[in-house]
This record gives sequence, structure tokens and C-alpha cells, in this order.
Amino acid sequence: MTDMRQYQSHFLDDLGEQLQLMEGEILRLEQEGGTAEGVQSLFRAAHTLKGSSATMGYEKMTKITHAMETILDNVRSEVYPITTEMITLLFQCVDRLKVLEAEIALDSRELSDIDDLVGDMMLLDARRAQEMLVHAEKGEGDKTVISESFPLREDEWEMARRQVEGGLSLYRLYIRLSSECLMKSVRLDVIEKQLRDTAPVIWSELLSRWRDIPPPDGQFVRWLIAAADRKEELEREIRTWFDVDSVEAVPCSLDELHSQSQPPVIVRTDIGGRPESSFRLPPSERVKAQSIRVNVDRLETLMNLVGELVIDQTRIRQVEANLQQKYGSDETVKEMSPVFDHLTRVIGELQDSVMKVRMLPIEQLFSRFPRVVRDLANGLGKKVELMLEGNETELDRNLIEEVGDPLIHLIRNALDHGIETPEARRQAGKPEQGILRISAAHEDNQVVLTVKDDGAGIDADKLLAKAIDKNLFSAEEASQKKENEAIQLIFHPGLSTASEISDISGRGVGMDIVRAGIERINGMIEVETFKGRGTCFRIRLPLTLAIITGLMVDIGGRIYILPMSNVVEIIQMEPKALQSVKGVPVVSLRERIIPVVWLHDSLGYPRTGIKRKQIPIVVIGRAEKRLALAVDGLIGYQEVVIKSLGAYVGNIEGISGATILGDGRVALILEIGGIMKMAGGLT
Amino acid sequence: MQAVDQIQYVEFGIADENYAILISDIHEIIRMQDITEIPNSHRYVQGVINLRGKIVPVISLRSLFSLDPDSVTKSTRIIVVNHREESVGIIVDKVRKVTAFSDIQPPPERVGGINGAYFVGIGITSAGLTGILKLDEVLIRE
Repeated sequence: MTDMRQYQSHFLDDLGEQLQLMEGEILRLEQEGGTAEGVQSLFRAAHTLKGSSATMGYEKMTKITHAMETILDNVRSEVYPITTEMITLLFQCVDRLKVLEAEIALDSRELSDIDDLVGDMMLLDARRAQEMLVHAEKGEGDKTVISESFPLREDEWEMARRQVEGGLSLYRLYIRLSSECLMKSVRLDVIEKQLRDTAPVIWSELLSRWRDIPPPDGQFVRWLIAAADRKEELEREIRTWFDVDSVEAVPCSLDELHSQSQPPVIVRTDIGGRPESSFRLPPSERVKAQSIRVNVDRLETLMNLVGELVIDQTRIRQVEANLQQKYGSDETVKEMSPVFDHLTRVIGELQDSVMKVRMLPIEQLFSRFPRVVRDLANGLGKKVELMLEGNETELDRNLIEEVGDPLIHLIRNALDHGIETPEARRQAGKPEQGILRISAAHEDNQVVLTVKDDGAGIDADKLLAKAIDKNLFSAEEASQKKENEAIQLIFHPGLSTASEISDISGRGVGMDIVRAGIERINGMIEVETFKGRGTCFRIRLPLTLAIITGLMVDIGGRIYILPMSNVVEIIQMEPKALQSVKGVPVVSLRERIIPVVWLHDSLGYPRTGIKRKQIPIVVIGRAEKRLALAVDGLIGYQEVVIKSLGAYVGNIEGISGATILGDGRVALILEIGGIMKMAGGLT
Repeated sequence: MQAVDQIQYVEFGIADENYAILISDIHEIIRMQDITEIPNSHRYVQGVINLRGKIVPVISLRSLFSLDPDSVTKSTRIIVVNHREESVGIIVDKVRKVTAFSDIQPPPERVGGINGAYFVGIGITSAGLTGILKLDEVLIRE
């Protein structure tokens, strides 16, 4: 198998895509009852996976997909209809395949057991087939198994009419190959040809339905022919052909045909009688843009190179300014200026284009949600309609990966604590089916994601009571909190323990983790809630992780960078204007008291500029929380390329990375969450 | 097996002692750079430098060996080594020469007041003794 290793990454890529596709189709089957194309594309996905996993030597995967294929095959050839049980099993198959996928990605081995699942599948297949057979025998014989519809096109219809006018009779022909027949599709081709030599063929199932994939074993293949022979003569003739096991010719009239040429409904579902989620999925778009698959590492390298160009460009700018000053009148120096301008523009465009290459539609992430919501809603006995909006919104692929977990966390909260049970909703005068709306949109230079439910909302009073209970603050302090401030408490780590909060406030499970996850990628999260009407979480993300706008500040003679997205306000202040509350220096800004922190203390430098007349103060914000940072000077802001400090240095609290400045020096980028945490001990 | 005296080392000095690193571990040797210190990091991590657009951490052997702090002179160099797929710079007082040792002894428990675990062995030349550094120990991540 060693020579297969080189195909491993391709295999995994493809596997991921096929699984995604399968999940989408199964969901669609469940809600809409499914269409022939849906079943067909599911079958095709299972078939493809079976082939590729067999080639790669992954036996368990091959077995599962084979079992799926068997069932789907019987569904599409109408041996039995789709049932809820079947859909649940198909979901389980996809889940198990995902587990195997993870195991293969880890060390190319399939560890999980699959026999239980394959057993269930085989049992289901046998049982359903049996039921249908019994049903068929009791009914009007063999033919219920075969759909009678002949979807004739206009020209075929015309041809049938002409043949009848010419004195021939129409026959529906059912031919089944013997089970010993090898190379069935070739044999069927031969039969098709023989038929055409015998009589005019008006319609052939082989050329329409079974054109791309061979019909399943034991399946009757149908033709519509016109012949002068009688039924018995026709049957006798065909029976002499090679490998024909069974043949039946059924005479039919033009009228009969006409009534049957309506498009058939092939797959039925019998869902019902249990809490059901319905989803509005966008119709699957089969039109694919022209694209090639590129290794992520190569994109990463490209991005790094562009990052370096951006740095060099700032450097060249500085050099140019120096030259201008020294030799402003020199012709060659004058010539440089427009060249630099052009260079700057080109680099800017290059940066944009490379950035775009890394962008993916958020659909990649959204397509995971219907399944999550379905499972949760079913598990909780709730009814939910999931609405996904802004599927096409693009953002950096790293961001898509990072924002997935926080979003799923929010979805889980919305279903668990937000949306009420059908009874509770009925009592509150709301429709039984709750609505969960997840949307994505571009706003300025940011992506805004919202997760909105129409559930019970967050009870601020209960949150406050809980906070007092936990000694976060006194009842007196609590009474001064505005409702909006109280709601922010859900982000407080102390209030985020799951079991306790869910029966009190109905929300707040691990929200501090959600926020930490969002802030790690330089995002912000806000919450808005209306008691009894629902809750809305709004997440703001930068378009990319690699480049941010940074405010450069001077601290003890060193340059540090604050992400602009966290900077709320910059003020100058006289030292004596600082007030003090309980020994903690504060500033009062628009009726808000904000604690002041000397960054020198957090970073371990002696406080310098304290004797100056004016102290520059940068107010940073994280959700509702504000902190005023006293610095020695403000240098300016610029786009900075974020670079990691590397594994050797590891994680340093309060520092998210480094960047290279125009003059070649390295400056550290401060991380607001960490700074606030460090300051937490001081205030 | 390769003869012991054919393996090449770069020999360098810190304070009055000689040390060596396997030449194949060394990426390059550069002059002293502007180092950006990292607050709240480990004491022997001096900071980071910009090595042609790459951020490279720099450590001080003097600080690791609890010697007097570095005093930068004209001969101070940074030896950039490749360690576990990352570049790390090591500040040394001066780089002496590329050399080979005809005899390498196992390190004693302590080498001139420094933990013997930092060394793979002591190289012996006619000029004296050289401590051969064990990068896995020197660059241990905590």
C-alpha cells in the first residue's frame, strides 16, 4: 500500500467532499421526500467512495459504502421506498464514515468497528425487500415492483402514433437477465441492438434511465416497441436470446400510454408523527466554476511572500523620503517617486488578489449546520426551522475553520436554552416551530455573522441574582446595573457553568469560551436579547487573519502594536486629572468610570513618562468592558503582517504575535484579552 | 562509521571557556542584531530578531549558564541553529574556528560549574578542552 500514500491527500479531499454531499442529500431526502435525482446522486456518491476506498485499501469504508449502495440501489429501482428508519441509518453511515475519515487522516488506519452498522443495514435491506415482496404477492402480482410509467418525449409519442397507424401493435417489454450472466451491461447493449433489428424501438429504459450506470441485478429492464407479431411469438423469439432469463410482452394502447407518460414520482417518504425540523436549504448548484485544487501550504507561502513585500514596501517608502530630503533636486531621485507609487499600487493589488485566493464562501461551514440542528432538535423534542442566509459570503479559510466551533456552540445554546418546547411556545402564543436564523454578510471591512432565535430570551434579573449569589458583586451594585450590562454577564466565566445556569437563566453555557474563541481571531461578539422574544448574537470578524491595522504605541522606548479593532478611543490626559476609586486610578469618560493601567507594569518596565504634562491614554474595549492604557507616546497606525513568535517561545500572555516594521525592527503585537486578564489583578 | 576526527564543529567562546556545536546543526552565523525583548518570557530568551523577514528567537547562553549578562562587543555573534524545524539564535562572545576533535570524553556531572547534562561530551584538542553542546538540552522548551 505504500505506493498509495501519495494519493492519500487526494483521497481525503475527495472523501470530505463526498461526505458533505451525502449529508446534504440525505437531509434533503428527509425534508422533501427526495427526488429520483437526489437518490441517484446519493447512490453515485456512495459508489464513488466505494471505488476509491477499495483502491486505497480501506476495507471498512468499502463495506459501509457497499451497504449504502445496496440500499440506495433498491430505492432507486423502487424495490422499496425510503423510510425514516432508512434515513436515520444513512445518517449513521455518514457519521461512521466521518469517524473513519478522521482515523485515516491521523495514521492511515481504520480503527472503529463497523460490523454493527453494516449488520443493521443488511437487516433493513432484507426486511424491506421481504415486506415489499409479500405486498406484491398479495397484490396484483409481479408488476407492482416495476413502475409502469413510460416518460415519453414528444417525438417518441409521435413515433408511437405513426407505428399504430401503420398497423403495428405496441408492446411494453420486460426483460430480465439471468443471474449467471457476466458483463450484464454489455449483454444489455447486445439485446438493445437485437431488439432494434427485430422491431422499431420507441423507448428504451436502457438508453434513458440506465445510460450511465448499469441496472441492478434482477431488475427488469423495460422497452416500448411496435411489432407486427403476437405477444406469444414475440416472447418466444426473445427468450431464445442469450442470457435472457425472463421476458414479458404486454400489449398496450395509445390511450394507456398517454395517461402514463406523466413524470413519475419515484421516491416516497413516510415521515411523520414525530417532532420534525424542517430546513430551507438553498437548491444545490451543480454549475461549478472552473477551478484547480491547490495545496494550502503553497497558498500560505504565497501569503508570506506578499507579507514580506508589504514590509519592504514600507521600508522603501522611508528610504525614498530620506533620499527626497537629501537630494530633492536630483533628477534620478525625482524619477523614483512615480515608480514607487506604482509599486505601492501593484503590491496593494497583489495583496488583495492573494487574499481573495484564500477566501472561501461560508457555505462550507453553513452546510454543516442543518445536520447539527436536526440532531439537536430531534434530541430535545423541539421544532425548529433553520434559515441560512448569506451562504455566498466569503472569508479567509483559516477564519472559517476557527469560527466553526463558536458558532456551533451558539447554535447548541439557542436550541437548548433559547427556543422553547412546542408546548411552552404554544402557551406563550408563539408558533410551535421556532426559527433559528444564521446569517453572514459583509459590512465595511468586516464580516458580520448573526445567530438569532425567537426563543425565550435571556432573563437579566435571574443572571444578576446568580451573580450576586456567586459574590461577583453586591446586591447594591447589582441594582445599579442596567439591563444591557447585566446581559453581558453571560460572558463571565464564573457564570458559565452549564448545569447550574441552564435552569436559572436558560443560557450562558460556556459563553466565555465562545468569546475567547472569537477574540483569538480578532473578532468581537455582542449580544442582544428581548425577554420572551428571542436572542441575537452578532459576531464581527476581520476579513483575514494575516494582516491587521495596528496602532503603534511607545512603551518604555519600545514599540508595541495594539489591534485597531480593539481601540475605542484615544485621549490625552493630565496626570492630575486622574481620579482614584478605592486606590485604583480611573478616568471618567462620558459617565463611565474606566480603570487605568500602565502597560509598563504589565510588561515589566519601569514607568517612565509619568511626570509629563500629558499622558496619552488608549481606551480599549472588549464587548462592554473598557480599559484605559497609559502609554508613553502614540506613533501612528499602519497595516501590519502578523507573524507568530514560533513554538520555541510559546504562548506569552498578553502578546499575540510579532510584526516587522518599516525599519526592519521587530515589534510585538499586544493581545487585548490577555492584557485585560493581567489588569484584572490590578483593578 | 565516520572517524571521530572527521566530524566538524564550530568552536566558540563564552567568557573564558570554549564550547562547540556540530556544524551540521548550524544554519548561519550573523553579527549582533537589534533584539526585541519579549516581556514575561523565560529569562534566557533574550527576544526576537528579524532574520530576512523571519522572526527568530534568540537565547543567551550566558544567562542559561548563570554567568554575567552579555556585554555586546565587536566580536559578539549570533549562531542560528536549526532545531526541530525552527530556527533559534544563540548569542556567543566570539566564534573561534571550525574544528574537529581527535578525542571526545563523556561529560562529567558538572563542567566548570555548569550542569553536565547540557553537553554531549568534552572535546580534547592540543589547545585545551571544549564543551560540545547538546542542543536538545540547551534549547529545551518549558
